Amino acid sequence: MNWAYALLEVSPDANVGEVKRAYARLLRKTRPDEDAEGFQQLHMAYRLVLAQATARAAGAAMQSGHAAPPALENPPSVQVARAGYVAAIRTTENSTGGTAAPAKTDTSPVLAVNPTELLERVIQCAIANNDDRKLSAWLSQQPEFWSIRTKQHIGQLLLNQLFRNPQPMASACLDTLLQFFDLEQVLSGVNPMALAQLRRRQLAMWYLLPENDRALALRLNIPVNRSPDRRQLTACLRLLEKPWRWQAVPWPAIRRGRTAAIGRFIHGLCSGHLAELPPQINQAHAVFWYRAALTGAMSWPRFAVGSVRAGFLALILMTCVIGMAALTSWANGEGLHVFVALGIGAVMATSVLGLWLAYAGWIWLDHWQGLPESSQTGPVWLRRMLVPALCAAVVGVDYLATAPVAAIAILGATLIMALRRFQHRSPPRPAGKRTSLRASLSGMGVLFVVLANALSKLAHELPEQIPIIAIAATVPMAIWMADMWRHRIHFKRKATA
Amino acid sequence: MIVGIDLGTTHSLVGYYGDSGPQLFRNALGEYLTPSVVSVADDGHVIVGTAASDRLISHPDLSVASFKRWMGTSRETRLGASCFRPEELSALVLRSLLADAESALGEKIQEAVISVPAYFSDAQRKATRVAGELAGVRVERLINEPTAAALAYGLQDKQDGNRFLVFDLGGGTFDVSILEMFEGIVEVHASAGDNFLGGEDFLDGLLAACLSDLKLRAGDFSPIERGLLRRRLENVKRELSQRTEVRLDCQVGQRHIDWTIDQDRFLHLSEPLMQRMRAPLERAMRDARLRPDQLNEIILVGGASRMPLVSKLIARMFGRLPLRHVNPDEAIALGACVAAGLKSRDAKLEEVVLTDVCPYTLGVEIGQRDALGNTQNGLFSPIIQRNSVVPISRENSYNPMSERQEKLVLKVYQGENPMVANNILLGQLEIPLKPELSIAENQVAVRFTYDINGVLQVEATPLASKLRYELLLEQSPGLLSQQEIRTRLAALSLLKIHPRGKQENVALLARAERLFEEHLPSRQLLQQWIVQFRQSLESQDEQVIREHRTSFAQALDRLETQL
Repeated sequence: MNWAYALLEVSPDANVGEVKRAYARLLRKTRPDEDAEGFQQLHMAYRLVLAQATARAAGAAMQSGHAAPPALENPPSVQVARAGYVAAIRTTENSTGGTAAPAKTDTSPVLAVNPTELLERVIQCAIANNDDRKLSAWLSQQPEFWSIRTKQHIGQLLLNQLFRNPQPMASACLDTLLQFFDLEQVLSGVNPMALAQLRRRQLAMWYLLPENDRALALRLNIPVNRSPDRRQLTACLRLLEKPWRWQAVPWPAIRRGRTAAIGRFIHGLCSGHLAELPPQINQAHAVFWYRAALTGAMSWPRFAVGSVRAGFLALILMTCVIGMAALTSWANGEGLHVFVALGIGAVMATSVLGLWLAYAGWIWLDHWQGLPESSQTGPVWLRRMLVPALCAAVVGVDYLATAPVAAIAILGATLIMALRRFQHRSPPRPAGKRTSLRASLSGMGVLFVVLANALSKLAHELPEQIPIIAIAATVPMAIWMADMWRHRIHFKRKATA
Repeated sequence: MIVGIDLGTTHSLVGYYGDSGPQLFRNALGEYLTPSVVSVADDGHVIVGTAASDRLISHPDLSVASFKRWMGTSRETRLGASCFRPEELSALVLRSLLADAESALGEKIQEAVISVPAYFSDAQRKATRVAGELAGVRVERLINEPTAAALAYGLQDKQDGNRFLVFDLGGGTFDVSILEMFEGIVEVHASAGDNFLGGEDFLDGLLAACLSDLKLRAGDFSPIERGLLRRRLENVKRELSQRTEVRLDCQVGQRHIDWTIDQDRFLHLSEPLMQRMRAPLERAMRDARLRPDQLNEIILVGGASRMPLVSKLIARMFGRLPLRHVNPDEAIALGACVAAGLKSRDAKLEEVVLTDVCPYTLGVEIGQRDALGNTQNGLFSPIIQRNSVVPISRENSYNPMSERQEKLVLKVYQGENPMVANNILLGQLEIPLKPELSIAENQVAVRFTYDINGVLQVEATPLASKLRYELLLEQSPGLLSQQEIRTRLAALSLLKIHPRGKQENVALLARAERLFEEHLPSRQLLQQWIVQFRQSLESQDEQVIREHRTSFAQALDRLETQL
């Protein structure tokens, strides 16, 4: 502060006029077009000292009792008011209760209208008007907003109010409000991420209003004829409103496409930001179904739902087998071979469950292998070394156990894993050039058969000494090495500053 | 000698700072205002000004107006055999203005100060500079139009301690500036505006209303007829400023137009445009951190500010009537002359210092992560805030988004939206990082330096290496390179332009040809007159031409008053 007074060559209790005179005098020596550096220094000093002087003058005016028009001649530093406004928004973002009062300091203008009542009218109109053009027409008709001060003040109050209590409002209406009050600009002091959050919250609430069925159905890609099929929407909503209990899982889980539909419903409402779902939806319940419907990673909800389905399938198979056995024995007039039937049924059920477990394990492994190098999930060294370890296992099984079929099976799985790992960890490619390698159980089976046939044929035709399988095992190894070379930057020793 | 030039959307003016203050020059026809219209004659001569504006009616495909709106874009206009960029068209207007100034001063002019709308973007300002270069002058400074108007006004009144708002509604642009004058210092506090809002938009509204009332479509008319109708409505718009009701009764092509409009209807039609004018006014007031009662005066400049609805808007927003004892057409040009005087350090202006602001926010694209780990990309992080006093230099520090990041791509944007997607990309800079260092150690300090001529310099210094990476935003997409400027300059100098002495004849012929299109019953007579005048021109006898010109002009005057 002192440097500023020294630079301007004024005393610390100089009044506004003196400060301006000093600035004018010095500015002639340091013109902005000649001495850019000096001018910046001078201007900064001037701004600081002027703000001090005006604040002091305003304070003096307040003390002398003429508080009514405190800022007519000497404006209080509005920069302070601006900072206060930003702080007010920030606190309401974090506060849980409605404690954060709007910035009702002495800088708030004296308004001719009742701000709370006007604010209420604006919000009601924004909710009632689904059409942003109507809202914008209404706003421009309001005589109160022709006053710059009222408009500014109401704009601030509005945003505070909405951050505290989000209202069901279409995105376009919020945009209209922000634009009208000039809040959607980079210097308004509103955090854009908080604003994006508010927008999503309000939109989710808006979608859940009964009259916006059609919009929601369109968003969820549910066919809309004349009126939208409300059954699916209400079913999803009713399910998600209840708290999560494990008893509630099986029924939606075994119905075809239901899990995906619930997942789509949740995603449509909140675009993946589960914390921002409207209050009537149970958070834990939504999280469960959202994760169950996510493809890609294997999460425990997905595993649970899949297990329920596999168990249900096993149960049906067992019932069928026992029923068939009972039917045949009755038709043949023989005694019931209960234990044989039970045995066959159990074997079939176990194989279904086993297949599901293998599939779930494969999905988990595949996802884990495809994680980026910076991810810390699971033991990182194992994630890096799994492919070489499996390659070693292929060679080992082939030589030591001399079980070529098992070796070929491991080789196939390793090859797919290495390929997908390479693909998932590549930098994203522009859309349109993307190729996807999808590994399913059946695909792996086909690949296994093809590989096994080809390799065994080769092994027959070529002399014994050439280790076909070992050579084939270098392919996934090479892919793995290419991937690691691409990520070599991560293995440099971390320098310490 | 430095001249001051107001290069407007519809009209342009030129002047200098003389012994008795700012002084404007008359063009070859004796007028201060030269229409910003360019036309190419059938014989390849380039025609600028009133004659071109008349040819806009008679030869719409060979004439072009309002090209200031395209400045900063690479749009090309075909006129006859050649194509012109907006810079070149502006350069042709500048050349004509400079010829007027040179004939008045009797010396070659090397430097000029040109006024631009305060809200002109980086690219538009650069295009204006290029136009000056193509016209053969060095553009010493670009001055913001409202600032220029304030200079002219403030220095004429010599009041101290004044804060005022300049409301500049021109033919194609709308600007607001808030200034303060004290102790000979002219300090701009804030500027805001809309580059696509002006008198022409009000005219468009009028045209649309007229056509829809008469159940006509724009496609029903040929280009010549459309130009005619537009010109008539322009007169209607002007008359509406004085009278409450105006009747348009004329013949356009095959159609008879009989249409009446009153001020209330016009006000209603202009409502959306009025709403658009509110936002810049409010933003400027907020950025200047002023309340309406702290303004001493509101000054209206620009031809379109003559419309009564502008005063109405001001009265509604500020609770007072604007002041207007400046000539709205000439204020900016006079201010540009004062700025030229300032630039040449005229002794009488030694006491005046002008500080201006940067009208746009400048910053870089960033990503942000919140407490929940959600990432949002494409956010705009301002470094130089709009309405900061220039020259200015500001520094911000940025971290890479992730560990092991190999480079930081710094995209420089200009605009006000919190999302960069809605702003204008100015350029980008790639800064290599050291991936083995931590995020905090890989911090990059970014410094923006914006100089008084609006040139932005971006400097990035990684904390670790202390190397400087620089980006000088001289070249924007849609602008000409130095090489292209040279080739275009050569091409422009080959264009044929009528000597100044003959311009009166050209203008008279163009006017007669316009009347030929406008005035159906007198076509034969006009045809005859034109042929006779051409014959006199061919005789090359100065005495004959002068006499014939005077009588011809009088005859045309009589004809036009009958209309």
